[in-house]
Amino acid sequence: MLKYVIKRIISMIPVLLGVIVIVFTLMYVSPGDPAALKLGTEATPEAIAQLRAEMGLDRPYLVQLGDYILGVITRFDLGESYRTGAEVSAEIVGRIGITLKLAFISMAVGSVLGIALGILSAVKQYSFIDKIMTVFALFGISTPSFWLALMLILAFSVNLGWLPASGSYGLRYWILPCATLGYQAAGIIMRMTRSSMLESIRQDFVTTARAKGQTEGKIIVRHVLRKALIPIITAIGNQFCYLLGGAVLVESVFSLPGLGKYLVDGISNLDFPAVTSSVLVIALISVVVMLVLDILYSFVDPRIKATYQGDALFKARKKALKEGGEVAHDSKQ
Amino acid sequence: MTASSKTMDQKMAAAEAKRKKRMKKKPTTMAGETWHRFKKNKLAYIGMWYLIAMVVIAILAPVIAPYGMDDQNADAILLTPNADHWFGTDNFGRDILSRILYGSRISLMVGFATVVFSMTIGVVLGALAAYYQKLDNVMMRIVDIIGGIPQMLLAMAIAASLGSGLRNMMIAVIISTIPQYARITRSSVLTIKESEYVEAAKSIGASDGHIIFQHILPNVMSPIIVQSTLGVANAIMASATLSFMGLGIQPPSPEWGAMLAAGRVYLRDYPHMCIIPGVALLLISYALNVLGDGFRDAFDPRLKN
Repeated sequence: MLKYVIKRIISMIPVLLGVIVIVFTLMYVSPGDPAALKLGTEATPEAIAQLRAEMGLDRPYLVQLGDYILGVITRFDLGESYRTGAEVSAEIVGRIGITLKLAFISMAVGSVLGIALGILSAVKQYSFIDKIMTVFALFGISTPSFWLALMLILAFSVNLGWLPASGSYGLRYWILPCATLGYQAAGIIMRMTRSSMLESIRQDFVTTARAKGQTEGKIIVRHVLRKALIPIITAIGNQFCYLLGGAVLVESVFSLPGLGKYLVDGISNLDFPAVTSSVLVIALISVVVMLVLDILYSFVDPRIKATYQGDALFKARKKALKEGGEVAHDSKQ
Repeated sequence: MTASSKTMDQKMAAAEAKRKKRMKKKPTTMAGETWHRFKKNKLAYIGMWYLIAMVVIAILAPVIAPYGMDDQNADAILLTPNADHWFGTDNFGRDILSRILYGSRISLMVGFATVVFSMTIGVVLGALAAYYQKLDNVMMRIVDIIGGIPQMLLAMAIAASLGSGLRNMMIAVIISTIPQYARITRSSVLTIKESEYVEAAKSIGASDGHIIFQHILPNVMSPIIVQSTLGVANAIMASATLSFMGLGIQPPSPEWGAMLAAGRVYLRDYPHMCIIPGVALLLISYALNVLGDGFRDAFDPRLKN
């Protein structure tokens, strides 16, 4: 198992390097000239050229790329913001907490709501509740997040005056942003829970459990849901990555000073180091989340764990056979 | 005797008629059966007609729109919905209904065009990767890298780097959605590749290109069609999002996302400027989503729960 985790972490490296290359290339081809931006509109071409040479911008693409990668890996150096001149990495560290908080709370809300409604919908298949839930879920999926955010502001802040529309000073400020992102996540998770539950609800082991006189609640939670959990976890993971993208917009609509707002402000000010570095950091978060999920699978489903152990077990048996010893039966498998 | 045989005849005729009716109801071709199953799904059927209506509206927009999309009327600024302007007017006195109708042209065109491009590239890459083992590793690593960045963020980064505008926005959406098609095609081709008829085609000396395009791809089309239907909704949403952020189509173009961005300032006092473009986006996306679900259930009834 540990071997598998290490293998997976190593396989993350080329993906992240690739992301850095893409991000750097996008920054390289972007129309803004950092030197010209730094010196302002009245700078002479000579001064700009001199600063470009000082900043190393006149070097070939590959040299600059190598330097950037080295900087990111060794010093977590993501460059300087064109707009403020501050270190981008420092600004990101100060904002990442808000984005993660938003994403995790929304995901928790979405997962709990989605799984609960999905179970309800699957157990009462084709009922009125099921139909209402299906429509509710599909609306969640089809609604643009920035529009939903605006509509929630309109309803709860402008018309009813119950909740604040922007800022992040206390719990009340988090309700609307988390509701926006949570509803969308709930829609997808609910659909996945429903279809995955329905797949396992008709299987023989459920009938067996019923025949044994197990109560319906226990059957649903212990037998059906447990079997249906893998696709649900996958959906939650994918949704988390999607949600990080949505968080960017929601943060900017609700003026939450997180990574997403930093990214959007960077876009409107042509601050490319800020934009690309935010993308890089969010990509890193989503790759790590996917890794954690992969490991989580094996805790939920012993069969998946067995496949990881299988390779090692197979080798051990082969070795034992070669040596003429008896093959030990591993009860764990 | 005659009476009873007559009733027998009548009974047989009735049975025959019933059988014919049943035959008529249950088509025997695969496409017919799929269509039959699809039609049973009421919501998907309505979604399909809504989409067809939207396409017709988009084509006929200049004919049916009550005003021009850029006609500014200084006497009718920020009107709420009324008899003259069903959806009200915006801050320049432009009729919102007409702008929504014209905007459907942009959204549908962008939605379908980007999907055609990203699907074609993704399907070819996915099929090649699955068919040629040597390519598989390299190609799928590239797809992993692109897929490692959340789709919307990648689109934003590309659009920011290329600059705003219709063409750049479409490039951003296309590149960011290619991995989805490549992954789906690859996994479907991998399962089909081992089947007997592919082996048979190989044994009679068919070329790789012939096998991929004539034998394998037609058999993996259904998941791709489903994905591309959902992909149109996704592309429309992504381009509206980019325009909302000022990275896509710029005002005064009546793109729905850009209209929403323009209306955001007036949310407090004139919410109709925000509500209406959003509802238009929501409806088209909802229709495409139910249509995609309907296709999926119709293509593969085993998946239906």
